[in-house]
Amino acid sequence: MKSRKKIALILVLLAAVLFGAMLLATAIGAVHIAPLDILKMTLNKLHLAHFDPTWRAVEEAIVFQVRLPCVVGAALVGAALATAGSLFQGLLRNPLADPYLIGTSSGALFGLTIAMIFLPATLSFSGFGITSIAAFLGALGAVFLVYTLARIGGRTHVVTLILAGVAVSFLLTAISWFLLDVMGELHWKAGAIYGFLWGQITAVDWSQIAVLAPIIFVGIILATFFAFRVNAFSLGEEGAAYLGINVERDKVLLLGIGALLTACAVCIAGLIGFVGLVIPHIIRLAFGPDNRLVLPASALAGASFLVLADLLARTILAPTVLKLGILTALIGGPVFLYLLLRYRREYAF
Amino acid sequence: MRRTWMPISILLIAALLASTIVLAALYATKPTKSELLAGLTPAEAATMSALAPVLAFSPEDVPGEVGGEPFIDDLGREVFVPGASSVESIVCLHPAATETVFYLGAGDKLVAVSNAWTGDPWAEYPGGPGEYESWITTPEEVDNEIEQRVWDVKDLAAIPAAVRVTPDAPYTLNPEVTLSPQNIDGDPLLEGYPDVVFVFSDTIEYAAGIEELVPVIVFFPLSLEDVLYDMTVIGKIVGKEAEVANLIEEIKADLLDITMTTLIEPRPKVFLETGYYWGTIYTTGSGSIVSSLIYLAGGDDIGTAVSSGAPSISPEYIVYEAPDIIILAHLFDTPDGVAGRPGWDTIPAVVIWQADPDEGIYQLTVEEMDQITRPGPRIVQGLMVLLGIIHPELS
Repeated sequence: MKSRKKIALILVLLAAVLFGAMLLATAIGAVHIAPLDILKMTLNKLHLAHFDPTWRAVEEAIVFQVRLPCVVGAALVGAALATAGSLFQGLLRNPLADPYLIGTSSGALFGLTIAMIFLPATLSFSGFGITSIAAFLGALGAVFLVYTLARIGGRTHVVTLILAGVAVSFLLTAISWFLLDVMGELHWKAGAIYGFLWGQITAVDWSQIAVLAPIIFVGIILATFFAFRVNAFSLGEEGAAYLGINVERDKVLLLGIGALLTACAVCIAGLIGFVGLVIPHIIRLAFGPDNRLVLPASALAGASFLVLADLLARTILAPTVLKLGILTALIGGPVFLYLLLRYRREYAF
Repeated sequence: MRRTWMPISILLIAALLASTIVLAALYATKPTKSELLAGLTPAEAATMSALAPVLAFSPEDVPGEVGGEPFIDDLGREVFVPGASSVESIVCLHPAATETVFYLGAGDKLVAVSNAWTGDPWAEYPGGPGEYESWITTPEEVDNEIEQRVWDVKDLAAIPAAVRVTPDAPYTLNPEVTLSPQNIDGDPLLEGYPDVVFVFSDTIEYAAGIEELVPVIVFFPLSLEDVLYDMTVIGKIVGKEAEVANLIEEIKADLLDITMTTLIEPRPKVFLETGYYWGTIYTTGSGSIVSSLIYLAGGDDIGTAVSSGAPSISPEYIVYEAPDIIILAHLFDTPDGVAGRPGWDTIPAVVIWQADPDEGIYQLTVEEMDQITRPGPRIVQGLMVLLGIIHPELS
């Protein structure tokens, strides 16, 4: 167990890294805009100073309307996925748990497919495309279904939960692809599915952030607040019960928080692998398994990681945009392997 | 041991990553424009490099002869087509090839065509928008004529997605036709096979496994001259060499005429969007057929910044480049949606559209999308569609 002071220090450092990453990601993009101009227009925008514009109006629109929402979106998605991942790993006592383990990804895919069949693609509500909303609802619906299925006699066994999650995932994925396969007119929408499966943060709107950021913030804060209970779950459910934890109630609560965070992330970016699975492990390798640190540190590290991965996705072949999910695995994989080899003997889960 | 292996494995992984990125970068690098074009503006150079190979194209340079020298298809495969001077039966899974066969007056050689791929009734040869009536009397006649020619293969569905009937595409042919060799009774080489199969690279899987039995020509046109090349191959195979030579001369003359009128006009910046999926924007990319058509129609395509191999394009680049005209060649978004994308309200095309919804942002109809994307005899119509948008006063 680390002292509070040390935890605070680590978190402040990680927050500083995140801030730096976001600054960098705002300064660099497919289009070159002088960093000094960006600084000046930001100070103008915040009413901290007034500089006469030496930049074009279009450059200001690019920074504040196009680039910054994507950077903030990437940070939110990274934080949400990494927090949900560490929650699920702790709660389900399974190092392979990722935010999508209990049905979110397939549920989102299913929702997306249904929306494509029955609703016009151009429908949207307050900045959200119909596909995003369908994915969000599908993700939450699938988790609810898995939980209901796994609940036997008022109790939900962790193993049953994981197995039900896997089975429902396969089922929903199969139904989705079946529909996409047999409905000829859906073939041409395969591009949308492809974008969804590999994740993408290219067109985030401030109005989306205004809706989702509060949910994600509250989710992360609640998760951190309940970190002690996640620690208790690592002793197994009996052990947790001996510590005075209301196991069933807390399980629902923590699963709910994780599922909501994941659904928010899916809603913004589609499916982005790797972040939720591996960032919590990297944090544990580096700082130990105490969830009071792992949860908030994963959120900050996940956010920084995704902001940087998105920066690379936008800039490596600019103005071509690469699929974000490919980048996260390409960068994160080697980093994780390196840490795994280096800390092999000290790893505790 | 572990201490020695670790750095090696990490080096290996790093090398793998580095080579992936370098390969991707090489692949995406645009070919440099020829030195000869040095004195022109980039847009003029792009126009010339699209038009010059078209004008230089000659059907006589296309290798291949039925029963003689092998044809070379778009994938570079050598395909020997047996026969006396032309083939008698064709299975065609490529709509532009179907249109070409009909245009050349050899539609009676088609025994099966495909309507799969995009969901729109591909190969709408009999009912195309007003264009084919002159060659074909009625769709029923065509259907009857071709149904008599469908060979006798029963209860088979090895390529159901490629050859099938849907209620809204009544002109598609018999669904019972299959290309799968193991389903044929008797000696497959004597009867039950077409003389040649035309496939598009997207549908190549449907022709897998039959190459030893039937000549398969794969079409994958990437440029305007590829379109002419493919037409010539088809013309030779169906024994309509004079007709195809005429068609190509007509197309060349039309493309040249239109380019000459647009060359001296001011050149608006054009962005043509082919897809908008999950926030990702797609365009056709540098050197593609559609991009070439935009240049010939007198526009300056900002989508040339990306290679045609990796055509997703950054929204901030589009905002920065500030196109005067946005063309939506898909139905995933509306002009309303485009105007509402974050930061896009600064783009001239959007400002123009907000003042007058008939200008600035144009959404193509399905027919127009077919015309600009179908690499067949209607390519000039596709150019006219773009001309009507980019320079309406000239069309």
